[in-house]
Amino acid sequence: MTTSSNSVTSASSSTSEPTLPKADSVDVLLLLEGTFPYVAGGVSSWVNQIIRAYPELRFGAIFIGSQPSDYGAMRYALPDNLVHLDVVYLAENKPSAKIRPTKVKADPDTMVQVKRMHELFQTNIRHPDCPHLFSSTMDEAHAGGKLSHETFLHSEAAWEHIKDSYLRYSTDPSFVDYFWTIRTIHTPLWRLREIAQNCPKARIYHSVSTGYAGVLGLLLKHQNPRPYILSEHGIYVKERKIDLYQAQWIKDNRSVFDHDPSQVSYYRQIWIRFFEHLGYLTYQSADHIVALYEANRQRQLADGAPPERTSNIPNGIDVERFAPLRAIRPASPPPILCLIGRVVPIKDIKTFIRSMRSVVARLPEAQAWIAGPEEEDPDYAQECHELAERLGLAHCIKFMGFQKLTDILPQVGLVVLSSISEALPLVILEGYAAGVPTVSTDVGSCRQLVYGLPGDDAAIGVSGRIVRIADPEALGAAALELLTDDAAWHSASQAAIRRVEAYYAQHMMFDRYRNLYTEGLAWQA
Amino acid sequence: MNNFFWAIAAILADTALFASGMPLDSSVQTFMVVATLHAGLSAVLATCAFLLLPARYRQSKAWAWSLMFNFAFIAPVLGPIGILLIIHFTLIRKTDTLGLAIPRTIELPVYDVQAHETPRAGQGAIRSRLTITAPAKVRMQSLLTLQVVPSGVANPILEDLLGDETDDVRLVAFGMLDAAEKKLSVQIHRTQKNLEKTLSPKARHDAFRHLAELHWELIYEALVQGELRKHVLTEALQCLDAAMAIDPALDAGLLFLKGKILLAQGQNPASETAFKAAMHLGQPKSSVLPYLADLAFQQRAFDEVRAYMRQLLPLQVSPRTHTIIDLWTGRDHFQQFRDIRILQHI
Repeated sequence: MTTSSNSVTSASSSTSEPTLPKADSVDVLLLLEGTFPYVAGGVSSWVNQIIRAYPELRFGAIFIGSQPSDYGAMRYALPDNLVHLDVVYLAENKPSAKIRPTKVKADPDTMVQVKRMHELFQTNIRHPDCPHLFSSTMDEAHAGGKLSHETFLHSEAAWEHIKDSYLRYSTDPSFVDYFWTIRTIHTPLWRLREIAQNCPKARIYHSVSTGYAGVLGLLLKHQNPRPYILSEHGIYVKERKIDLYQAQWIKDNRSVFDHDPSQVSYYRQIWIRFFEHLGYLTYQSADHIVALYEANRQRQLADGAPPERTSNIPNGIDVERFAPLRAIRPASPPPILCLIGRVVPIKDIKTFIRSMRSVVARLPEAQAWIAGPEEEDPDYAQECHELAERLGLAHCIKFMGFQKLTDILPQVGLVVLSSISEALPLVILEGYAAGVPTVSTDVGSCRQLVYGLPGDDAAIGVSGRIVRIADPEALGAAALELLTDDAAWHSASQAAIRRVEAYYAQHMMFDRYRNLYTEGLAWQA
Repeated sequence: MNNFFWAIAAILADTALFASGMPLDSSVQTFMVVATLHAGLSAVLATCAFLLLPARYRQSKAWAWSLMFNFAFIAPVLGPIGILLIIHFTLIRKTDTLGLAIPRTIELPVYDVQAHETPRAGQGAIRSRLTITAPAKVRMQSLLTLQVVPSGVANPILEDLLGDETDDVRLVAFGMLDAAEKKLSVQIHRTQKNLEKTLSPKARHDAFRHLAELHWELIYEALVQGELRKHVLTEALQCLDAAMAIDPALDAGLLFLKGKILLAQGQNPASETAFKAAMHLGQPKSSVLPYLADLAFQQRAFDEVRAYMRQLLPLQVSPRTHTIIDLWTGRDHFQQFRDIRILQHI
């Protein structure tokens, strides 16, 4: 995506992979799932920002991906103080070593523990023994341990446990699918255990999501008790759940007589529960749980985060970098609506394209700019191009690819965000800093960014418009309202500048994280 | 009965010919004379027998006559006697019975899918279970139930849920609507790509027709609104006109679709013309009359509405339409509270 940082690189500009830095120990070890430095986006930019904000600290990072083919070249230049970077893939197909079939025997005590743990997961995840049981079970999940991957795959005891669980809980008739679902779900845990074993020593662990990165943090903290900070931008469990509710690859073998459309299929339930459990266990392990805004913190509490460990630290941006752009803007708002972001389904670019039908009907000279890379989901990008063509809007919609924000912001009238899910989008703040109001969907903290929090923030005024998700008519109407009314636009622009300067300057965010890091480092001194 | 006697005479003559000893003569000349006489007598017999055949066996004249001739020619004397016996016994049957046996086309009842009630899976119940006061789990379950509800019913509910306060509900609703839209968009794109190829006029006609139907489906499933809806309607009409331009032969289905598109565009007079033409060409009245009644209602021509409703009365229509017909034709009896409730949605 387009980002404020000079350190971001266009995918096409990266020709060779730098050698990954390695170190035995770091001050802060960042645990990153599917973000920096291989994926451009809000979270990645934030990670980049954080590393560069503390040059005095030595950072390390573990990038966790699914498989190498899902990622291209690095999208960010690595900061000098990032002294260690590991890239690991959980679904990588490694060539299987030749093995002689041997009988694998499971340790009976360990299996009793595994059964008890699963029993608690099924019946009462919030039981105080749960986190401890999980950690101690994972202690043995390594080659040579009492619960090696071999034991899980090939021991009769594991087979019996899977079989018993199927008979006891499964509401889907297919044992074959049950068996392979259980294997697929659990296998990454052994990989994570292996990664944890090989990580450099760190004084603070910091993950930017729950899920696999969160579990890695839990394992690292368990083997080397150090402060563990969890900063969640979106809510990982929520996002996984939404994906899983709609996933087409999950089987449902219920017969026409068993099929109750209001009941989620069993394998879907298993997947959802798995990520819920990972989220819950991560929350129990983390010392500081940071959300970007209050609604997300409430969600964390609902998902089991201990309230006393939670706090909000909103994103912040380098306001000074964008401030000079205000002077070079035209006096009247140019009829250009700019969506800054990756061309991916979650940004719902299609709604933005559709909204242009209403916009050009009233403002024929209007243009839509889509500034962001299209490589992440080429099929979706293709659909967007086709939609623009089909709606007869190809003449007024420009797919610009990667762009430098400082180049495009002075030329646009509005920053548009049509996403179906966001947390606290940096692009809105960056637009604000350049004096560009926004029209955004009502997701994440966007309402708060436009109307302000009750009190002094709200008194600043309205810095844009908020519309419902997937509503092209409303999006178009809101954009027209600002673009065709100079007074309203200027008022929104002024409110935007005042709001970003007062509440979202990056030094505020850095100060808060500096406190957390200082506290974490002091804890060990 | 003359034919019968001529047939008997021909048989007797043929018998005499074969009894005469001429067939025993080995000369070619005699053989030719016997063959010619036998063929002539067989032709007389075949003609008589053909004329004696019941009408339903005379549908293919040449084939029936040839069959009789072959019987008579190949099996002299015995063949014709067999034919006459069969004809004789056949003629004993009453002629009116024979007349009834002539096949004729009868009209089959037309099953009009649109006249049947769409299964609505308790639309009101689902809506009530989706209100913000319902527990999150119940709301999510109700939302998932919408996956099996017809999209024309489910989509407006999903559309409302896009503004829901709960992220999960909002996003799952979005995913379902997006999937429905994508399914149609993929087909539209594929058909448009197909049209770029060199196609036979029939294939082009079918492709344009399919495109028009797909665009209409976007409207019907409430997947487009506002300016976008206007655009899709225009596209649908253009595709329809393109299909009609390729094959000007009038088609009831296309005209009916045209009527619906024009009605959605607010072009009421043109829409009425299209509907009437569609009905004239065989589109079931039970599908078209409600639209005509609607158009008449919009023009405040209430007598006309009533007339259309009377025409609908004997037809197979959905229970909902029936309620409306009853109201307009004065057959309604609101003695039961339940009936009044049914009508409130009109």
